[in-house]
Amino acid sequence: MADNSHKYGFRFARSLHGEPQPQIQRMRLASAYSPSANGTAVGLEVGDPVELLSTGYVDLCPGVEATPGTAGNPWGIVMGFGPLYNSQLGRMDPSAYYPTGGITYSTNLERMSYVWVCPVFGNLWSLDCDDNTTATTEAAYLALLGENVEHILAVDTTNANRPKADPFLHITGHATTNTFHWRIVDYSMSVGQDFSGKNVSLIVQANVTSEAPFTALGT
Amino acid sequence: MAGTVFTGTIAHGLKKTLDSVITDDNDGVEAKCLMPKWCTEVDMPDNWMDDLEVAGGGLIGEKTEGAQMGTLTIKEGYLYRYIARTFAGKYIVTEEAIEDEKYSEIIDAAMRLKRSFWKTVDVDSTLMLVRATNTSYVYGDGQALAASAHPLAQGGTFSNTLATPLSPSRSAAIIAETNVMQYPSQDGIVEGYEIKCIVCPVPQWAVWNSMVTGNEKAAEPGQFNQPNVIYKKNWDVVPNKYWQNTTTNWIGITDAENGFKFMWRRKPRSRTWIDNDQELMKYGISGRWTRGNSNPRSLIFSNA
Repeated sequence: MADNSHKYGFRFARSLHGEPQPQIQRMRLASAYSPSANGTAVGLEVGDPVELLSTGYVDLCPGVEATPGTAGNPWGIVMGFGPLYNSQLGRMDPSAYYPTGGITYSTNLERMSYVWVCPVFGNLWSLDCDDNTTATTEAAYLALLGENVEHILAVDTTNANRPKADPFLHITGHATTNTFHWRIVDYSMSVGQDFSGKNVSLIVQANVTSEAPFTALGT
Repeated sequence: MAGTVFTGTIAHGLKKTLDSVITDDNDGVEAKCLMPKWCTEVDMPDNWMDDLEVAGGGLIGEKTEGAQMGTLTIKEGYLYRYIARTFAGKYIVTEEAIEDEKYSEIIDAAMRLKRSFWKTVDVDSTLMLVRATNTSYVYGDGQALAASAHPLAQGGTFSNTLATPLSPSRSAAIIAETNVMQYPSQDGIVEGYEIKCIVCPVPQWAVWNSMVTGNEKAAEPGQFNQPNVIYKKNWDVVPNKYWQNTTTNWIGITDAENGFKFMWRRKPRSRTWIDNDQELMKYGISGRWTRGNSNPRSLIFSNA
């Protein structure tokens, strides 16, 4: 039925090990961390992929849009945020997203920016494709299962107050390349899915992550 | 949402500061469901149900005096199997989010699930129309729902599509009704049915209602004194807002039995449960159904 409505980011589809809900870990964002995607300052949203740094912090995990060789490996998907420091008002505020430009808490650790993250490994994730030319039929999508693919941060600046990284699957780059981040395992079973339209939702699992032991140290 | 509702997810709902919460319309979703307007709802007592086509012998022959009478043959046609499918979804909400939220409309998991359920019913049933001419989706007789050569059990074929697709108009309606009035029965003999209902994409709603079914007199300029024969047929018009792969196709649903069926194996069932380890509330809804069509005489399709 024409184009599918775009659902933002990576969505928890199900666990590979039968857990009935995402397993959440508390991770930290560095003071003054200002996320950027393809050179554009963005915020951090529920559904964005993050990579684990050797500093212990996480940051937005670039996709195929990044300069070759600079893309990290995804560690987890943002599921929520702890209260974030509002420097104008001098207080911690509950927030549904981490704002563009970042938050400076310096050495005041009680103001630290926490993000709830579900590790990508061990789970299946839904993500929309970024074109409807690579495949336009169910049979064509079926042929992609088992291949690897990268994500791409398409950047959505529609709301100037809340620019988003807007991750998609870069479906035109599908290949058997073993360094790609994601393995396509299925397509969404939503009855509303039109395979000829944009934003077809595929189910992926991690192929390469920044989780030990797959990567010795974070980026 | 990516998985779980945290307090951060509903950050602006933790204190009473809002005038309005603008959200999906979750009221009366079952009553708004379009499916019952064009499908027959039936219960499904088992995991699968079969509909079998059986054709009688057709016409009898003239017999010479003293000669033996001819023998007629009953023939089995296609078998169409309905297999129950399960649809389900859930929300996972932290206890903190439930304790702290001040607006019932924000999470409102039960009503949101109900909306999701009935919308899925409508979208899934509409897929029969979306895929009506798609040869990847064949029915009992090996043909798409709308095809020009549905096989007859005793031999031969018949068409339930307009040979020349027609956009909505009074003449299109007359041609469609004329075709339907000459549909053959299972035995290949003309039976004739009548259109009862037009299902169309939303952009056609006005034409069907004003030009075709809504006027006692012909609505075309210069013909206002001519009676509109379609008016007396009392057709229902169901603009189906979920039918969006076309603006030009439409379908007439006839009074032939065993047409569009929506079979309930289990009506929607809601459950709420708690994961005490993680202090999460879960709200789920599931239902089991299947849908299909066992009789291509139940429709006439314009594949414009």
